[in-house]
Amino acid sequence: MKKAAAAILASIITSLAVTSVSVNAEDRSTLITTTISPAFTVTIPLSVKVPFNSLSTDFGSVSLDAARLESDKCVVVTLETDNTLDNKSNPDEAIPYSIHNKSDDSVFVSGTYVFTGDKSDLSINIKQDDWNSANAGDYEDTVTFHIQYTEK
Amino acid sequence: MKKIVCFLLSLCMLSFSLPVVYAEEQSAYSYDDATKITVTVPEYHTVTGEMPDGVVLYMDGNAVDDTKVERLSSHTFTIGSTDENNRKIDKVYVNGEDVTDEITGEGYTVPSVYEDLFFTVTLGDEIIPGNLEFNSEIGENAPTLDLTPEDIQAIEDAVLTDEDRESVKNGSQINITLSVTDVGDSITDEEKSLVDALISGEFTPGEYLDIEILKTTENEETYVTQLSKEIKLTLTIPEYLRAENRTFAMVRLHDGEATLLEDLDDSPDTITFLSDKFSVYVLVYADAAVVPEQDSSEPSVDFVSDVSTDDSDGANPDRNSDKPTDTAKTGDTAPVALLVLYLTVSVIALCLFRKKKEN
Repeated sequence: MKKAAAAILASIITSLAVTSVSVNAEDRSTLITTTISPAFTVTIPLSVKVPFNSLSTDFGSVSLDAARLESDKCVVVTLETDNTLDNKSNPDEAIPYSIHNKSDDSVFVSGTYVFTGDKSDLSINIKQDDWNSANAGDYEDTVTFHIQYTEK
Repeated sequence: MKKIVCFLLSLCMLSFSLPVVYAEEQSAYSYDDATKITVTVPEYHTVTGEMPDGVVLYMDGNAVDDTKVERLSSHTFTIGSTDENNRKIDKVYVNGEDVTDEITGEGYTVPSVYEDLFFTVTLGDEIIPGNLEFNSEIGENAPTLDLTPEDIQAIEDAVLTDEDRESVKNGSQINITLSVTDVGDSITDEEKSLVDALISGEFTPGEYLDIEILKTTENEETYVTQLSKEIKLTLTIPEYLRAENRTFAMVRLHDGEATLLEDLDDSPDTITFLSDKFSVYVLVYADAAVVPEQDSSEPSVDFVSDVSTDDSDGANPDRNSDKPTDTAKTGDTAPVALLVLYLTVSVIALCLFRKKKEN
């Protein structure tokens, strides 16, 4: 009885996946479809410690890796930051900074990536005058990268 | 066992259909990720320097040796040099930037130290100090100068400015020439009048002299007419002006003003006077009148400085008396005729007395 039940179950499961086509004497067409799901990896910069008095510090890259996107889609990475490094012990003290595209020194706001290898090399820039007037202490800021898979 | 096989087989079959679902879910994908940026601003900075031998960097008066300073504090840096070759500081760099032109008399001030400071100093070429030379030139018929080394040093001190001294220290040559020239032929009537008005009745002009101090540097020649302080000059009286009981003085003509300068020495052969102005001088003399033997009082000469030419009030009658002559009064002025008369009368009286006695 158990053997018979197992055999029946296996048959049922198999029948779900494999479509049996009854073959008649006349020709029939069969539509074979498949769907390749989009897949991609976005790499964003790691946390970084800016050396003291550095005017431009390498911030790594935002890059699109192993991308398999739909033809009408792209990946958009948007940076959210207040461009201020706040003193940990005294919130009134801050050091302004900006994140730039190293390729053209423009301020990085967002980037659009389509193909594997598309990337934006970034730098953290702090002006000398801002360094010169900064009081001693530890400063930090958290930036957020919004990653969207969206229509072109 | 068969149950497990069947179950796994079923799971495998199901997995073939998952990508379709995944694709639908990824058609509008959104994700956030955060990254932290940190900075540490130091509390202190270090001041160091690379100095040549003999050069010391001072911060607020203290020698710098890997000195720590509080961030954003203010400090003044000075550089001391005891270079044995007398080389001057040529350039001063701070963190590679030339700040030589920013150094003032106070030093180099950093109003807010916001980074480590590294000073570099370079010295210039060796400087061979220049020379200061003093000469005196005595013109024809002019009295000679009698100057001691101390007198010359005093003249140099009075003539040279601080810039001159620095210039000599840095290799320049400066000559100081003190000249005495007889200008009796070129003295103007106006100048003579000024002198006469001052000494009238008391002194006689002896010799008109131009006493000049010429400072010669590499770039220019300057006649120094006004010194920073008085100097002492001693002139030898020319032979033809010397005489017994004769006293001398010097009249200075400067900027239209005549001033009598008294002789400060006791020697009859020299005249010593103090002056800080140089132009035309007149050596003047006075001969003391010879008094009768019974009158033991000595003749005296009063010196008056900056006397006006107007003495009409008669306050100084001696000045309007007979002017001294060029020769000394050595004769005896006693009344000889009266004595002869006394003698004659006495002889006659004596003769008359003897004749009367014989009778």
